[in-house]
Amino acid sequence: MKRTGKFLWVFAVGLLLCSCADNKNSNANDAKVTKKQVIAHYATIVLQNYTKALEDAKVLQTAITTFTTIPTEANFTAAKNAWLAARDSYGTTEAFRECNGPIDTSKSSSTPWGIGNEGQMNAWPIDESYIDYVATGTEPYAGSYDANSIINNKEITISVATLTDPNSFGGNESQNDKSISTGWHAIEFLLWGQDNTTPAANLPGQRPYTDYTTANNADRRKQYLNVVTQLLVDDLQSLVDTWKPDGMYASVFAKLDEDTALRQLINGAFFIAGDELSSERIIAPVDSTDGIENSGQEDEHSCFADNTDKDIVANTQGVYNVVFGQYETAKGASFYDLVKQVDEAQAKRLLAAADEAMAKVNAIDNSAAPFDLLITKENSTDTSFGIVMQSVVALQDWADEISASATLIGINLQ
Amino acid sequence: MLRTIKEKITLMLLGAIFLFSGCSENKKYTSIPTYEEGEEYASGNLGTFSTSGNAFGFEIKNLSIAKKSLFAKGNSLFNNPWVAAPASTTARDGLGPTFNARACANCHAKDGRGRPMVTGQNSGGLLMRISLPGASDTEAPFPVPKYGNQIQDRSNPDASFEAKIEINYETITGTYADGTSYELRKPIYTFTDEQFGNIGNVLMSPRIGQQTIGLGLVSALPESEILKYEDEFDSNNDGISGRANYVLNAETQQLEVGKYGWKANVSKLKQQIASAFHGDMGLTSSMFPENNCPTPQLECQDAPNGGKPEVTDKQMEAILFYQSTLAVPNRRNVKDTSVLRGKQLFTSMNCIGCHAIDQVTRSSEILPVLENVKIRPYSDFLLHDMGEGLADNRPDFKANGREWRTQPLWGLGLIATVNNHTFLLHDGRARSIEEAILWHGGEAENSKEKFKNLSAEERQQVLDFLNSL
Repeated sequence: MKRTGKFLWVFAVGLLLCSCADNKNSNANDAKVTKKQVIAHYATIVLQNYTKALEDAKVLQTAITTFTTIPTEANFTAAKNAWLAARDSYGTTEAFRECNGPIDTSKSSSTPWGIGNEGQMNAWPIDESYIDYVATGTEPYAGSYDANSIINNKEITISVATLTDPNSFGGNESQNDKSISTGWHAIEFLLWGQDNTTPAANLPGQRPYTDYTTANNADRRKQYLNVVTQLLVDDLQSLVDTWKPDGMYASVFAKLDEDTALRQLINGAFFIAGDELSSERIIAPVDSTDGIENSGQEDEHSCFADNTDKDIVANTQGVYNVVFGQYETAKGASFYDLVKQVDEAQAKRLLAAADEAMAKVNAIDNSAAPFDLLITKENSTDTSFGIVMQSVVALQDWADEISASATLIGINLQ
Repeated sequence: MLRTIKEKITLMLLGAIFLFSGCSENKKYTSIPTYEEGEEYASGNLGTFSTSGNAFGFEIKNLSIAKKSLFAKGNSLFNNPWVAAPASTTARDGLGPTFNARACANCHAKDGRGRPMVTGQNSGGLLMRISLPGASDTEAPFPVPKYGNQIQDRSNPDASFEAKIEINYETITGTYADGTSYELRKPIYTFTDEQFGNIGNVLMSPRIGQQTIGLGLVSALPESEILKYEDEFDSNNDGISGRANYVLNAETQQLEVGKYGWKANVSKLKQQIASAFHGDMGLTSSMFPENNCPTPQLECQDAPNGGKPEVTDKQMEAILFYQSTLAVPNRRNVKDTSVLRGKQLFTSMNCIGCHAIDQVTRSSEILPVLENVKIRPYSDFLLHDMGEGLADNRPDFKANGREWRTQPLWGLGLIATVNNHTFLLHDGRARSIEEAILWHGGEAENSKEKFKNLSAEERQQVLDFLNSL
């Protein structure tokens, strides 16, 4: 009995010493965190961010209802501003993709919690002519449905059922990869229209609000805009519901073994930084000599609103949120904390890479030149990279650090 | 190192648990299904964990920035539509004059699988090969006068398409040993709107676009890793007598082992891509520099072209790299009891006799990381007689009218997620994995009969296993 007590006492002192040494170089508020805490806190920020995205999408819906009820220039501008605000809240959620979670898993007998609505919300680049008219001469890149587009073909019923039918004309991605009829970019196109000005003009699409008053099929266009916005709100609602503490997926996620859950949550950050954002959304448009007048706008993410720079910042911020366990004011146990507990030096590299990437994407956002102009001036084979390709390097370096850090805590992302 | 040992211990424990549960739950299994370490990694450490709608669209890991850029460029070229020449505004002009699709992604949506024909609609991934009989087994099929080797059902405004294809289905019914009935649909194809005269009674072979994952690994398979499964005269008496197709390499004019396409009728990935550009999209390349305009298609011959060649060598390099580096999804749910039992049935029914999983890649012209990888493609890449029901009766080099290449099954369970459908087999006639099994005949007749004799629960286990691929 006595011996045991003494032993425990020594053990406790040892622990104390350990934690003191460990805390030497870090914030006094940092306590030891467990994988379990990191996983639980991740679920919290996922819910908070989807909730914010839903709230902002509802504000967008209200603005669109107002505009389609009273279609004025002022209400049109208000709707566009609401889209831009909501888009920012959604942008950070993209780091929750590719985590084997509900947003991009189909519902099946083994995954009854699957929703699989990512493509319905955020597919791009879109064939504009599938939805509405396009300007003469733009058919080579915009497509050629035109008079047969969903809005202009009166045979087609504009409804949620039509836009979500994978097997019929009108359904999102029902005809091919680019026959996109739903989500953020469909709404963006309906609000801004094609961006047919030169990049140097620094203007987004110039759709007149009269498309919703005197133009052909104005009523069908209004109806489309309302239906497609409702669908986006519904899609975000379903994600909020499933991630609520008693929601279907939150319960499943909480029961995953810790390393599986950790691998899944950090894979989303790894995927956005190293793949989706740096490769698909930045390298592809930079390198695309195959877009409009060699401008690559066809591969630009939010090409109608010219909001791609903001998209890039929001996506990067989303990665930051996952790595550092934060969302707006909420801060908690994080992947970074786990790494730091194992290897301070690696944690420093992870933090430095994160700050570098944030700085580089902010440089794009702060540049006087718009993104669609910047990409015409750079190429991935340039010997000296401009600010856009520098952001690619920074994001991919960051992804490498995320992967190296994951390995240190026993998670294999490769 | 420590962790590896720990993992091994965990696995042994897991195995032991399965051993116990297997025995106590169900005594009729003679051998106990076990999880084999690493079996979920069908392409070594090159696979992707993704289970999303983009599961077929990931590059293999650890590419440099320069290589990622090449991949991204290839991806963009794969997805974006080509347009008719002349179009000064784009480097992607030269489509047609006749074609089946504007973009690679039209038939390989999200790098996945095409859909069968719907009468009256543009093809979402199916094309019709045609030919005249008479070619020897060292020759390509003979083209049909005025139409060539393939029906292009679309065209630019300044030329005429060749013909349209109508599809009708005949219902075939059958019954499992347990009395459960099933229905299959047999497609019947007819030509309509023939623009250059009656096509006549020609040989026809419908083909659907396949998922384009893991192709760089297939490219890196040496011929010996395919030929090792050959048993042309069925010397082991298991009813299976696979043999390789030997096909013409368009660049060297030599006969080589065919690897790609439904009848293994192409030996090199670059040629497979160049012929798809040429035949399906009407795009010329260094390999096929002449437009596909059989006499007397004068409008087609006179139409403007989009440069010589239309697909530049640089664009071809990007697409070839992209197609070579699309990752194979790692398997899911590999330790589920049902999946493990399904795996055991798959083996005991000798499905594994053709859907083989023991190959090692050798040299790659694309990327060293594709070399010396142990792969589990669930295919021997050989030709097998699949019976009268599936026969297209159109020989293609050594492949006779009843032979098809074993379809690799990796990625099978994710087609539904990626493409929102489960249309399988060479023309998408099977509406599900189950129907695809039931269409098997010929050398696979025994295996199919065994499947039909399983209980409903066991059939579900086989399907659960296949969906884990």
